[in-house]
Amino acid sequence: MKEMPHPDPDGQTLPPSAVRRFLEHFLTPEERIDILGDMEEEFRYRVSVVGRRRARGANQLDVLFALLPFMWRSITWTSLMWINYLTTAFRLFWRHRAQASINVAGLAIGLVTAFFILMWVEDELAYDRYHDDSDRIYRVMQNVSFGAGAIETVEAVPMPLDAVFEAQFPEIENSVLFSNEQSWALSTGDATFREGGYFVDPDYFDVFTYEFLAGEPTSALQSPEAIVLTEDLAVRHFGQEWRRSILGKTLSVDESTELTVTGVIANLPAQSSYRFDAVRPMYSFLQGKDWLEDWRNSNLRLFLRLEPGADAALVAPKILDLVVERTEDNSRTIQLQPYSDVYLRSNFVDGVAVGGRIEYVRIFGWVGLFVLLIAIINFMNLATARSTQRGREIGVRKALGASRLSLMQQFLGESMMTSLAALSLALLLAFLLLPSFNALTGKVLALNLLDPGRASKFGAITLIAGLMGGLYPAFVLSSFSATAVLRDRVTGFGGGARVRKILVVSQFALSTILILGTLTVYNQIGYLRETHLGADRENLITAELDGVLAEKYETFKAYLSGEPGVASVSFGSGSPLLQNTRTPSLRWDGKAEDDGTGFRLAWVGHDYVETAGIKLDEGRTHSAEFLNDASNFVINQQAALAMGMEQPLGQELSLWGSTGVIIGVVQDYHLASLYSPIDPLVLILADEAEGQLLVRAKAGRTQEAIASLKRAHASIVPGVDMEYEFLDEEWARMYRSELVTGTLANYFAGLAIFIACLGLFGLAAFTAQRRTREIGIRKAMGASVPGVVMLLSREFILLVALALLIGVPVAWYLVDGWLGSFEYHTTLGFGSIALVALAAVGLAFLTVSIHSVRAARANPVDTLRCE
Amino acid sequence: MNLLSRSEELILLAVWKLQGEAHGLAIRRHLMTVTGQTWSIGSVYVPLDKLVKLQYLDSQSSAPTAQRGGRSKRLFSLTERGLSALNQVKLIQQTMWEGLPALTKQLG
Repeated sequence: MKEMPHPDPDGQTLPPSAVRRFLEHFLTPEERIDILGDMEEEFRYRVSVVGRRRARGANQLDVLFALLPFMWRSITWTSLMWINYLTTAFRLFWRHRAQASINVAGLAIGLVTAFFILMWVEDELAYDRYHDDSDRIYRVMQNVSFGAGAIETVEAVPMPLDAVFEAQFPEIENSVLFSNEQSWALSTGDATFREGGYFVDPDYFDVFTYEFLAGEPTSALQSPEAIVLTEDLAVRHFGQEWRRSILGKTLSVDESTELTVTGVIANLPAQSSYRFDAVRPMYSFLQGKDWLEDWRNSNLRLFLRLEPGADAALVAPKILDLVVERTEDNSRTIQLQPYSDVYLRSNFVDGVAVGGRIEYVRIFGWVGLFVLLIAIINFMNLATARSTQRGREIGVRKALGASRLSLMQQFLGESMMTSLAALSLALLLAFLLLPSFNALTGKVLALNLLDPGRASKFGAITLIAGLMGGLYPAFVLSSFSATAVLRDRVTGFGGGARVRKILVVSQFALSTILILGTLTVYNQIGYLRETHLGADRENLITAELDGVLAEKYETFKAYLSGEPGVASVSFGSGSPLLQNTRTPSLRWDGKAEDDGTGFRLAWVGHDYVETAGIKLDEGRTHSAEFLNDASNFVINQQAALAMGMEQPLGQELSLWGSTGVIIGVVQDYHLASLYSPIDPLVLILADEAEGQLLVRAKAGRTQEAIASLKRAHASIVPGVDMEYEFLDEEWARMYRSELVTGTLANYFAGLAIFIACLGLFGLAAFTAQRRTREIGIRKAMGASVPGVVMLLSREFILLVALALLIGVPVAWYLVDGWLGSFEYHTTLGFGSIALVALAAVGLAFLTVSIHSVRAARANPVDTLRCE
Repeated sequence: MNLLSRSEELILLAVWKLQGEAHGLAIRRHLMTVTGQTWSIGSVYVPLDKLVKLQYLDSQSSAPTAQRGGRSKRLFSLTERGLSALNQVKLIQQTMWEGLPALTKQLG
């Protein structure tokens, strides 16, 4: 390479400066030469007087002081230009107000959807993160194998584990035990309410921080008879004035123990996995439960707070070593689950967390993105279509000296204005619709526009929408030369047509994926709901069966049996929807030595199967007429399968030393989560009434049944209100998120197709308008109305068909993967695909034909006269 | 009637004074010498630009010089309109000053 001559032999040239280059943006080309020349001249003069270094500094100062006046001048001119852009934009908007409104409305709907989904997702992700050290809290999970390779992950550990932690693990800062959910009948003497709560370790409030309204977190749970209430519960029992003197007040629990209120905490934030009305210290729970001390029993939840910086992955194996050493059982493993994952990632398969609610969060994230994309594509399409008609405006602007940059600014600015208009409409809609959205999702979301994070996210979404909408006109249209546009007198550059087609195809492909996807989610949820449902949930009333009511169950049942609204009465250990007890200890003839299959057990009263509405497959159920039924068993089909019995009736089974025969087989139904496989089940006749009361009301006479129930209750347990629930309500509560997801998914899919059709509507209007004269000539030459309609619609129908060809396989692929993660799942049938395809084409045709029919019916005399 | 602002007036006067040599830097130096204050580049060029647009001033580019790093300079000269504007200002000022008492505060 040739050596360049040194540009500055005498060191007199003005050195480069960033500020000066910035200043140059505000100068006219003439000025740039002139002023830089001046600076150079002045610099040389200064070098000769004060030296190079100070001359340079003086120049920097010059530049700095020059900035303000020039910038001010340029702002004045720029704002004049923007006022012109604004006027043009408003005129255009007004001239095409129908199209422009479609544009704004479509985008606004897209924005509202995106905003709602964003808020929903943020809320889901915020679960359980409100404690001071949420990121250091872990839940100890135990993987227990139930033979045949089946591993279940449970949130229960041996109780003595807690006691050894502090001594043996420096990484663990604190650990708290946590019972399973309790239900207490709390009474002040005046009124009794049933409340849900937990027994917890005394230092519970050290690990999990809550806002205390009364009492001290450190001392609240120290005495065995203490109870800490939530604000709601305090109000319920002690009235609005509870604050005055609540500490030290007493409550009786289950009509026996007296408890002292030692603290009141603010109501739990909505984003809490473990919800409770009250907590009590562990002492009373442990009393008389010596078996809890046994390392082989896992019955309590355990939460840890690790030291800052400690690695949970290293702590878990150490805990495991300890458990194995004490239990001499190496079939189990231990893992620590971050507390903030409890809500979203608590589905375990083979001992590994595979997701959970996070699936729905993801699905909704995608749905939101898709709907927004469809809305933006709409916006791009209409902006593109419109801008092709603006050839002359662009030509004139260019001829008058508008630079490409300023045209780009104009188009981007226009689309930003549209998206800002859409934003205001979207915010208004969001404000109006939020209460319904909250009611639907059961959340308490607020718009909170003042929150900087929220505002900036909404702003960013709007900005992106605006930028993308203006992209095509800004970059493509601004590149045409003024002479070409003006001389050829073309109204539209043919350009844009291909882009528009691609956009329409991608829009409908996205809609197809979305609709097929949401349809599948909906179907799958419906499938889970309707198959293997076991209990007939309609008209089934449940209540807690404990205390006096349990003791006098037979009297109670006898009382109810005569009542006209009641069909039958029974009870079971646990809800028919959830049977938690499990054992591998069941024995039968021919059982393999290493067969560790876990059988779920339910202790039930007489008439259980009939009352719950479980379908009997063969044999009979427990009956009072057969005295030895007390030791006989009813099993489900899975159990027969697990034991390899083809003729299960009459076969002998033994459990814990008691032997009986199988007298009946019931059809399989879900005993736990809808997502897990149905386990083998054994129903045993309970010798003592306890657990959950089941009352089947006669169809259409539930009110009578409830009245009878209350009367019966009042005669046995006077003074305490009967608390009951319908099983379908309990079920709806358990699967609320699935139900909500299904409903939401449908709404969003509907919105997506609506927005897409809105766009198509706008485009069709545009096409029909552009081809008015062509149609006039065709009709004058004898074209028929249907012929013209087909001519105008064909293109769109073809585009939509192409979109289906792309969308369906993609949707099928995605949906198949999702369905595969369910133990029991539906399939995406040919029927629903055909339905969606037909609906898409039909809707597109309908939308387009509104315009094409009008255009085709127009009298050619009117359309051609103006020429 | 469009009256000149004080800085515009001074700049026009400087151009008149410098005659054929009136380019930006020279104007600025002259103004700084006369007023004893710093005139930033912007405070000279922005009014110059405006005065050219109002056709009080004409500008011509000279040949590029090495002194200026190979850049030409723009020489400004007064137009008829510029001259009459200056005359107008001068006339107004003279009229305003005429017959006023001495500008000293009468004490006591």
